Amino acid sequence: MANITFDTQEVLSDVVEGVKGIMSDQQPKLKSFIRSQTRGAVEFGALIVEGLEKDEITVSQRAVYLEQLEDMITAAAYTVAGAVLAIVEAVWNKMVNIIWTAINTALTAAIDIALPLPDFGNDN
Amino acid sequence: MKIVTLWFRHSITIFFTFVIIGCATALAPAPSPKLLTDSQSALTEGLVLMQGMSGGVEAGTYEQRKDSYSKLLANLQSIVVLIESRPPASDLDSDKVKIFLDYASSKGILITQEDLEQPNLKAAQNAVDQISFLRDMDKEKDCGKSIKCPTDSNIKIAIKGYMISMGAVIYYEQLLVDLKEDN
Repeated sequence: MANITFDTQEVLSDVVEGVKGIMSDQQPKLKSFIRSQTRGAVEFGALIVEGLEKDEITVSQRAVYLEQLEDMITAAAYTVAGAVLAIVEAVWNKMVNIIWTAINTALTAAIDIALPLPDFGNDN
Repeated sequence: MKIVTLWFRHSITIFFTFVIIGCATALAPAPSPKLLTDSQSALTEGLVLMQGMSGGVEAGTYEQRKDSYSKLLANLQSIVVLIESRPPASDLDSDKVKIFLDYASSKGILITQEDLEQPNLKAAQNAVDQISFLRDMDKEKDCGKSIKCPTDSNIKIAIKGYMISMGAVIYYEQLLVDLKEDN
């Protein structure tokens, strides 16, 4: 029976690189999304004020627009929270995937058993 | 002794393996390329409609836009249905997510687990409400003293709001697709 070879340093390095890849790609996009939603909400508010000054918005319309502004901020918060969870999921599963593959490789070499790689997108 | 040691090492490795399987997680719904492309098309369609109204619209012109409103609203409602019908992630009821929601709540951000099942659903519903509001205003011509209705300000506000709402829908769908491709 062969010895199990499991290079901890190499696996760690692969995990770090994998996580870095996800974060360096998604972090700037998330920041940019938060910035654009915040700027958009501020500009939406400014347009309401401008419309009132020009007498182009009625009082009842103003009430609806303020409600819309509140709804948009709520929707942005839900989207950001959902995005954070999606990124956490990707990072976590990337780590699991790399470690699993390393263990599976070692196991196959040692005891000739190939354990199936789980589908991380599904409930395990 | 050597056999016992090997067995022990294998057992530890196999145990570790199964612990890891148990830790794999699903916190976001599955990506939908159709939702992404439909949302991008609806954003363009809405902007084209509203930019054609820029400066405000004259009385008696609603009929020219009636079909465009209907088509756009049907597309937006179909996006809402697609988001609603997508199965939520399976691990959203985990303790770790509860800790995350409790933390958000302690900062004054009240988000429930249901809100996270379809995080961009509210944004899609907002887009439907915004276009419906503009259409009703255009149809009923209730803009107070203004001759044009919707006014230039109404159109600018509608464009801004629509871009914010659809921006959130598209960002989330793109994120899911990108993360799936990365893995």
